[in-house]
Amino acid sequence: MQVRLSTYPGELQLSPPPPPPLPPSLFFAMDFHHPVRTKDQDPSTQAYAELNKKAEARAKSCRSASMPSLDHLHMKDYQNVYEPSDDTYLLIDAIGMDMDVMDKLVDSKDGEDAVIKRSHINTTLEIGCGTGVPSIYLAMRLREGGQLMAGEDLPSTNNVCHHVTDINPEAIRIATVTAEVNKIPQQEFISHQCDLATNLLEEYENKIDIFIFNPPYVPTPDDEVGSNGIEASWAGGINGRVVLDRAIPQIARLLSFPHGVGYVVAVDDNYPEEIAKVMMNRYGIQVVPWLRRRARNEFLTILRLTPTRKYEPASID
Amino acid sequence: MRLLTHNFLKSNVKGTENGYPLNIEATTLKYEESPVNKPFILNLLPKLNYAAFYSAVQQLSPHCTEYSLPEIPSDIDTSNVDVIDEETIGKLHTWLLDVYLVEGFLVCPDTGRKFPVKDCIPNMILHEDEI
Repeated sequence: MQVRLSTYPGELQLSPPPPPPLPPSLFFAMDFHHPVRTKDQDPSTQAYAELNKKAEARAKSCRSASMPSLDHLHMKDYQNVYEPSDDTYLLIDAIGMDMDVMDKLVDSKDGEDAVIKRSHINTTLEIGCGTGVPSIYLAMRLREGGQLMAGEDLPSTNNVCHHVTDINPEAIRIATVTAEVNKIPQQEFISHQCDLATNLLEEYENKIDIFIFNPPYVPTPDDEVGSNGIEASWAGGINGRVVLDRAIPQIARLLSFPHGVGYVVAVDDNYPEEIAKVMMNRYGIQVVPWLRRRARNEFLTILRLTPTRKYEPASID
Repeated sequence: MRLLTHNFLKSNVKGTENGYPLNIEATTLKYEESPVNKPFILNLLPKLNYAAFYSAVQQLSPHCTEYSLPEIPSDIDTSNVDVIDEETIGKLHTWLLDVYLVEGFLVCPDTGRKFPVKDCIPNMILHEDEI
């Protein structure tokens, strides 16, 4: 478009001024207009839609888990590691809800038995731990158990090994300090820097009793995936699934049968129903949307994974 | 990084036949005493690869002379932990949990690939051409 400034002969024509930069508010508005869900993300079966509804109801009625202390972290720490947000809160709510049932603090809402039993928990693993909040919350709950409610002294330890990994060394550093601040015995909290659980597959096959993964789930261009800085905490590639899809065979191999339980965060952009199908067909792992809540511009779901058979490599691995 | 962590780390470089256990090249070590928790050690032993742990202790011992750390038995029956006495548990605890590799390298026994350890954090991330 050209702007006509003058009607004199030999008219002066000016090219249009460059458009003003987008004000910050518009930037958020664009973010906001990302559709919460698109039609093709609707569950393809009635059964799955029902499970989603149940998960929403569960999320409404569950107790809100209390966050481990992060008072020692500052703004500058969050330049290097993902700051706990709605996804983190929903994840620890899900873990907390199952622990409440385990400790008989509440009755199971579905009348089913506790999915985790204290005596079955020996080793836990969180990959991509970030600040380590979910693992630290889990460790705290395992230590206090039902006893905190009864006002008794805390047992000194629960003898469980909590492994955490992250590709970002800053995250490992911050998670280790956060565990210390929250009085997790340092011997129980074992961390190292690696990609997913690549270095643990053989030693820990069929040995992880509680598995936690809050993957980078935001759909982004594929070339944003694979950094080891803060971007690694959100950039999920196509459908936000690139990192999770790589982790699926590892999760299947590590999760212990029959008592293991996994918790994985997903958004509807990730097509969680398809994740559930893949995990069941390839590895016999049952995936149920366990808690579901809308958070700003996304529907968050905590998928709960329980193996129905012992791990065997799928033909596709 | 403590030897407890070392015990489950494995090299996955492309073409590695047997990347376990990793050899240790120590630059800086530290020793920090912590209270012994017997049930924790007993719970851990069946999961521990004792031979790998023992060889790691042998590799670190020469660097730790200033701390006069105990020697550990060359073999332990980890399937029957009830017969292990308190003194031995204390020694195992010291080497598993109180000795830290602060700076140095973990070396793949097969390919010789060196994994750096910095500020106690072992970096096991592979380069693209190693996957």
